[in-house]
Amino acid sequence: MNRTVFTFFLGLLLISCELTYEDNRRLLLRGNINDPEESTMPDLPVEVYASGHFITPLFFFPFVNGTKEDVDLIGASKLYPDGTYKIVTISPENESNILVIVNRQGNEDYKNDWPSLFISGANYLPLEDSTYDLPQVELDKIIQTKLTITRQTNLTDTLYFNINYNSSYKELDLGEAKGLYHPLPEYSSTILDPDEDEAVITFKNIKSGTVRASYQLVNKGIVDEKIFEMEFDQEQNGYEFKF
Amino acid sequence: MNSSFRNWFWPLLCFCSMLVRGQKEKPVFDDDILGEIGVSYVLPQAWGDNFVSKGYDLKNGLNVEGLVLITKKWQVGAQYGYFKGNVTNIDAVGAILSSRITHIHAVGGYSILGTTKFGIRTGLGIGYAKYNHKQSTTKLMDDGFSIATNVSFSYRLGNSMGIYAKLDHYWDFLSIDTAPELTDYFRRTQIFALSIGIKFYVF
Repeated sequence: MNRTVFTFFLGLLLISCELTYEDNRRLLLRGNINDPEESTMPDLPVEVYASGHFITPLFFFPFVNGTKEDVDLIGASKLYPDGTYKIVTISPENESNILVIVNRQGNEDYKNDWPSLFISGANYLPLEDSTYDLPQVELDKIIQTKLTITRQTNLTDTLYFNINYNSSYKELDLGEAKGLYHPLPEYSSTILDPDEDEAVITFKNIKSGTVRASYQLVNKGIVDEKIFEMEFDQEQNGYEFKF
Repeated sequence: MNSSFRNWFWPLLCFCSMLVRGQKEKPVFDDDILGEIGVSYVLPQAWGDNFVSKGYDLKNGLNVEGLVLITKKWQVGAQYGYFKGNVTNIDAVGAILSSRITHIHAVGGYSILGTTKFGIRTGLGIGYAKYNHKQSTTKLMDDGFSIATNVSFSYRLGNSMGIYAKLDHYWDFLSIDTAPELTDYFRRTQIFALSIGIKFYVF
């Protein structure tokens, strides 16, 4: 076989198609998760995953087949009562992301009164002495809460009220898109006719979690509309809207 | 008793007894032994505060040794052993499914008690340990320096064959790079390995 062709095919064969791991190396990921209102934390499961995008097994035509994501569990442990965690992992050498998941739905130790927490981009942190030190994260419990809508001054318009909230998870990105995200995948709504004084929406949410509200006041056409974030009222143990 | 051990041990015992029966009625034991080759079945058990002890269920394995008797009391040679282990505690090890642990040692032995048929020996080995790990689809390994100490009991069934039991203590010093607080935990492992097998004598 022509040497150039042989070298080309050998090169393709040597291209890694999956996550690989360093010999003689273990990593330690440690951090702290606390609830501002609780002194002790439950033993929530903590898992660490490595992921990367690799060309498919038909590697001769990566531009045709595209890439596939390879995701591996590399370590797991549980939260200690003081909220700290220490996870021993094997050491990926070609990963694009290291993701820490606390209380993943589907884990056998999942606790349904706590949200899941996704901390991605741990590999962007400095690795010192084979250790990644993750930042402290606050995590509140999931509670049953309510939104009370009260008609006070507006006696003529129909109110269409929507809320978006998240009762299941929280995301923190330590990578290039640094920041804490509050995805709001869940949705609820109500209508308050002019002859009604009050409406209550009950729902589950992460305590003190963000609730994004939007409303329209309608009276032969839209009179007013607005999108805003609602503040959690500790005394009411819920949210309140008056109009 | 472990079922794989039963499956292996009783046929071996039958084989040995057949070999012995095939020899002369009253075997003559030749004392001028040049060397010994032993093959044994290993039952390992880790202990101490290390990742093997805390995270593995060790399975049985195999040990092969060859010794040359340089005097009546002293022997030198080599031994090779391996066994497998399944990870039962991922918290203690990391996400590894199973491992194959191999030891190769250059050994020196000393006979504490030696009669024509019975022998009690102690030995010291210096060598290499390799831990081949299997993750879900890929493999990785740890390796390092290893010391083995052992004591063995042998009984000659015939002139050229015998049975023996041996207790090895492996001290492995692995070259694992990890967090300072985990250094001893990952770098120093201790494993006891009880083995039972057959020995062939060369003259």
